[in-house]
Amino acid sequence: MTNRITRLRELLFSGYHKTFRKESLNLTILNDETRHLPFPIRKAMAFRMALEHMPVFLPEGDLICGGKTVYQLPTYVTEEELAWGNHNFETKGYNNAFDNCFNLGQDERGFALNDSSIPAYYKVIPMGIPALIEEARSKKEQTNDPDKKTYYESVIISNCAALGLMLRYETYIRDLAAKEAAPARQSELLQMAGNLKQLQTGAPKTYWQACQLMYFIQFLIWVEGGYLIPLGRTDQILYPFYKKDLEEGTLTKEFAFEILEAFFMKLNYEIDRTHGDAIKINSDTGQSITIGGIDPITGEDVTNELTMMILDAKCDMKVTDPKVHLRIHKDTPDAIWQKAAYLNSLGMGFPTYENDEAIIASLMNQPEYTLEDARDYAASGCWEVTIQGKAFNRNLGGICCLRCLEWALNDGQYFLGVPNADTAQGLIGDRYGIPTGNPEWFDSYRKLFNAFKVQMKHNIDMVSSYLNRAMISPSPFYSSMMEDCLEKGKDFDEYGVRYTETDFQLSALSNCADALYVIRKLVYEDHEFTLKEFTEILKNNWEGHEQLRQRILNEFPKFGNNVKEVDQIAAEIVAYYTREVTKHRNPGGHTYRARVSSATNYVYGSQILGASADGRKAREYYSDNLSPQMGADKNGPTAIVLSCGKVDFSHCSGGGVLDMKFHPSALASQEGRDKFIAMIKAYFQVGGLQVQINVLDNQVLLDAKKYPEKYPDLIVRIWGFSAYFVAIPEKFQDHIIARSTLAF
Amino acid sequence: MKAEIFDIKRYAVHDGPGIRTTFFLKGCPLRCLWCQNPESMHRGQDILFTRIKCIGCGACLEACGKLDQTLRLPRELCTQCGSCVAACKTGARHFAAKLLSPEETAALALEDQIFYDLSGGGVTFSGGECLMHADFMAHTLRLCKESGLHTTVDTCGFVPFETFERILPFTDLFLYDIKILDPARHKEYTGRSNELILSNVKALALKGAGLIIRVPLIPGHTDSPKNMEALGAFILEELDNRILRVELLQYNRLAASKYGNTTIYTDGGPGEYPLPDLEPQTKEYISYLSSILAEKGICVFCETL
Repeated sequence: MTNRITRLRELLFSGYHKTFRKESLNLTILNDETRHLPFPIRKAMAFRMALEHMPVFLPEGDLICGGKTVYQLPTYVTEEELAWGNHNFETKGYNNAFDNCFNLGQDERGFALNDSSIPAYYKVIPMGIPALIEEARSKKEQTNDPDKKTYYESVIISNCAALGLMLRYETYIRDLAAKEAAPARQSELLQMAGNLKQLQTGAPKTYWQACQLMYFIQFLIWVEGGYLIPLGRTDQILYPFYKKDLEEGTLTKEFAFEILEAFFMKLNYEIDRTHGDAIKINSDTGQSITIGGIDPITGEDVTNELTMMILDAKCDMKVTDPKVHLRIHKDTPDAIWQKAAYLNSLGMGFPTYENDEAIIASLMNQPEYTLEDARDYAASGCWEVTIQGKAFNRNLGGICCLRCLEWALNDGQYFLGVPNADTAQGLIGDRYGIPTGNPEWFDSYRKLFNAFKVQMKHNIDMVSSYLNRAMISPSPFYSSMMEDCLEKGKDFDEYGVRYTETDFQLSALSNCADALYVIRKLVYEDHEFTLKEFTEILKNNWEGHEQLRQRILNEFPKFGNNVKEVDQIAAEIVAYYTREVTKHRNPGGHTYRARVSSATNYVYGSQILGASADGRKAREYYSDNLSPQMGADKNGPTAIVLSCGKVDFSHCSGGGVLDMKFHPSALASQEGRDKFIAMIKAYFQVGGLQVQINVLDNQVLLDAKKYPEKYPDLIVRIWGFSAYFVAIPEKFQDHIIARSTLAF
Repeated sequence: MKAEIFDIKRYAVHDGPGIRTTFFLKGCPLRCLWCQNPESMHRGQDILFTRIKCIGCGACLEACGKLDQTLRLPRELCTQCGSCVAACKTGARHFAAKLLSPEETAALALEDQIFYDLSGGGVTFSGGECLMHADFMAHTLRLCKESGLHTTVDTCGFVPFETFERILPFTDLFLYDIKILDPARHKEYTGRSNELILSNVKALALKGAGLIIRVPLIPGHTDSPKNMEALGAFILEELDNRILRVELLQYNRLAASKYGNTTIYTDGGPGEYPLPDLEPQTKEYISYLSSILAEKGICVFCETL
């Protein structure tokens, strides 16, 4: 890091940017005239007013300006709309009835704000905002549809507001320049002001201007109310600018690197604002960038100098954002592999590896995607796979298969009773599940498995009908950054985007496979218990059967150990699950996308579940993502890879991520990293989609928990992103510590 | 024909090239003070007891009838009937080793072939001293070689040279431990003189075997510059530098938990860890040691550098 970047990093950690924040501006756009305007126009006007009044600032020495400083738009929703709203729709916070149905963003009416869709930076950056406004204007002229006219008008207002804020920044920076004593910095400030000037009148001409515009759009989407905003294939988007500047001799590689780092530093401003008090996890910003991969048309490798530079910046900066996803294919250059493995060895959990071949194939197994678009996929949120600029990605729901097994054993009811009975939604009579009969009726394993499938199907149907009821809030600024919205004159809420993706997740796969194996063996093969007796033991949370529980934990084969009998059960669950999920359509008319992952669910969803047959006690966490249950992975990472390789992910177009944990010594040397790379290649060869890596030293984590002040920048990977270890809640810390003892 | 295998490590990344599966065989002719695998010293089956896993249910006491109140039993009284192991549900009481045939061993090794292919890895046999099981090793290595696996033998060298001759055609690489060149010290630290070890390695070098010399750096015991000088001289003069490289292994105390009261053996096991609290060498010191060898033109490698 140069002195400048070191200083900017210090300012970031000291929270300088937070001193400019305003929770609310206490303003309103509503008056007798405006209250009758269409909702999107009012929202755009509120956005404009916010941008006219939000504080502007520039950290000393910074090369990129901007930053979210206002957290609520001026009032634009009328009292009638508020009263009418969709408030019964439980999208905010964790919903016990459904897995992971939380929605962090909601407008005042209870409508979902938008997230996880990647702006079409590849289109907007080369064209610039003035041309985008021009396009909206001419489209508005051409159409007679009043709804479309309204949409274009809202886009024009929002984007003109963005130019207005650029002007405010330009004036502010020219002021700073006038007062600046050091000639070098003064000339920098004048260049920055010049950059803003150019962006107000046309397209970016230089790499620096392109970075500035990209950050400007990025943080303005957050101001509008968007969150979890990924950036797409950043190395591809910025490269033409970089290349031109280098060829013309107007940019040095060193300065290009510094600009990139200044840009990345700014992406870290919102890390404390993502989850609110409910979860209190930092850095779940969804600001993923995707690098490497293949060309959408030719299918050839597109690695360039910026791919490497982005990896270098991540090695250098030691901050959580942006999260890096590296697209891997057969021609990924060795130098990129090596640098990526080195970055992993630093322990921050980046990059995540994405298997081009398998992911593109899984997208092509959905009826909607064209090959060209599938090849242009990028990571959103955590590891969801989406198409940059062309897809509206929603990923709020899913099922836990362990819960479906519990219902199958208990005629559709929870062992622990109805959670949150007073606010419960989705109850059928007194149960969430569906009556599938008394366990004593299941006289063969197949009958039990069929009941389990019925519960899965029921749960999938129930959650999808719920998801399809979600109302979506229009986002004129965000949607104008998507390729098709502008073309069609439709916002997100009117499904203006080419692909509307509803991602559906399956959690606790390994626990459920282990549990079904135990039941099959003890009840149907060895006849030690009847199913009724065994269910009673689970209902009583193993009370009086600790020896049996220990025997199950220690002597029974578990998923993740390359044991065929258990792995086959997991494969069967996933096959049924993907087939059912992909039968569903969302209101945009597109096929649901299946995914195998847990997100936060292993913590929250586990709290309402009773004991399970795999030896888990009631309310104990279950496994995260594809991982074997804690302590069950006794045969090392190769066995986990081979077990997962037996599961068919070819229809999991929503993704499926394997978490791998290594001890730092395994990646310390070049030879160690070569072996690590071979391991990932092996997983991709057996059909794996995605891998995320933690490189952890148990001793360091224990010390960090004890002396947090010594480790302000210790970064670990949680369920799908990197976060500062000392700032996450204790229960997550403990989970990571427990996991780290099993690092290979 | 079966051998006692007390551990199988997959994704073994410190035991030869690429990703490997390492089989650890029980029994060793040496008694090194710093032994990392004390449970492997005694050849033949053992019953171990990991105290931390014990929930105090008393099932083993009842099943065996001969255990004393500390849950121990002298080895000569134990028939290894396994009734205590069968009674224990927590895995606290367990057999030290599995008995595997060469065919079973080779089949297990082949499970990870995809990883070997991608990384240039293979199978490694270690211990204890795997070559104490000469027949088993000759058979197993041949099976592995016939399946196209790269084979590595990690050895202390203290076995008759005939054993080496038997396995040489099926062994691609030896990880050959040379602890200390001074014979008196060698006997003091390991219980045996190093004559046989040095003559074997010389004979192997002459026959053109793939050789990596490994030196466990034990603070105050084997990590002196003098020992490095002597090793360097031996490699140049006696082995004609016909080795792939020397690997210096930094000291660690990970094995300490296998001693004392944490893991106890039917008969009490190896007792307390015999070495005092020693600090691992610094990187600087290790690079100084490696420079002694490197200056003589010997290839040196250390994972921690």
